[in-house]
Amino acid sequence: MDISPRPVTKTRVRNAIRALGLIGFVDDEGDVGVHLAPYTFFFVLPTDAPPLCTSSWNRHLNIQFAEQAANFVTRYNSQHYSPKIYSLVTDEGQIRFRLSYVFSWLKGATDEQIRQEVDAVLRTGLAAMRSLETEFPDQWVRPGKSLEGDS
Amino acid sequence: MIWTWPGKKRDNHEKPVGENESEREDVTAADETASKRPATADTASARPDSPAEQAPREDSVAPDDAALEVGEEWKIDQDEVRPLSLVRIKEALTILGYRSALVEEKHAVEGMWNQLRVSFIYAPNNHWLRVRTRWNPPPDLKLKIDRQTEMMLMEAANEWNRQYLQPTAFAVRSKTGLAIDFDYLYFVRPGITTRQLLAALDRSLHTSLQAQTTVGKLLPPLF
Repeated sequence: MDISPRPVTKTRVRNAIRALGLIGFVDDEGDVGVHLAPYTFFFVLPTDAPPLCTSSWNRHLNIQFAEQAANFVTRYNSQHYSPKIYSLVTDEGQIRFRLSYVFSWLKGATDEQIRQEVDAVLRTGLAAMRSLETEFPDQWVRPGKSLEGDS
Repeated sequence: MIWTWPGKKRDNHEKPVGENESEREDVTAADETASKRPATADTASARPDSPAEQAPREDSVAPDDAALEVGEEWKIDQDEVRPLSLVRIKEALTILGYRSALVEEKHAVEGMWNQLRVSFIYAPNNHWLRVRTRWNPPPDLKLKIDRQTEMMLMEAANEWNRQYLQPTAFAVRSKTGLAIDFDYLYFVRPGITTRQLLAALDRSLHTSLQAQTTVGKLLPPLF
């Protein structure tokens, strides 16, 4: 365990993930990921930009719910420190939600700083996903609900 | 491991747009291929170009250099991880050459940069340092509090969040009208070194000031 900050590497991020009792992986692009079913969080450490964690909600909304999506994003970002949520419209006209968090490791970090911040971003990331599920529930998993007119 | 984490802003008094009073209690890269990386480059290198009573420092002196110079004088250990405090924030801003004021009732240190109020908010035992700024639309539009204007601001904030890493933007309905707030957030629960704090403050200032000049361009032409 170090006591002075030093540069953050993918190996150190993977060690932090392991220290949290989770299993990380490295994807085809060399980014570190953690799969917390059904969501996957990626840790990206570019050389020319701050390190960040990103994830995508695993479902999408019909474009007719654009206003509800905008309301949700605004409310969430105003009331939560982490992560940032934004929406985008795909070429197919679907609304998707992305989560993003920028780490504070530009001047290096200690092992403990990395572990705690990875822990925080994963917890808040899962909380954000749960909020999306609550706000936009999957109609097919709601017992006794009619799909028609039940938005 | 217990997977819970409130992470809520407890002192956010402004009302986000797009929600009714009844909803208030319910707290709870352009293309699809850019799934992990942001659509645009980081904004930290940009510098505001308008004159000001207090402008961000030039690049000729890096925060590290300034910290080492002053730290040596003040006997500060630049790499010692210590708990954050408002006093440390104010001291760090002084090291960077800025004037600021400690406003204890707001749990904040505040200052003016390019005629923009910047609040460095940190409540005791909080896990996050928040650097908040506000963008106000042009005066004639500011008075319009209608649904169409709210949606435009929400879309501009969303577009900012999609294109830029930091700070986080969201539309608000303030006492004086509609606006967009920017929060630059920094996780400080494990403590922070002076070198890290200086870099965080310097970076948050530049990105927040750049947001002021950029977000207006994300609005539809009518703005």
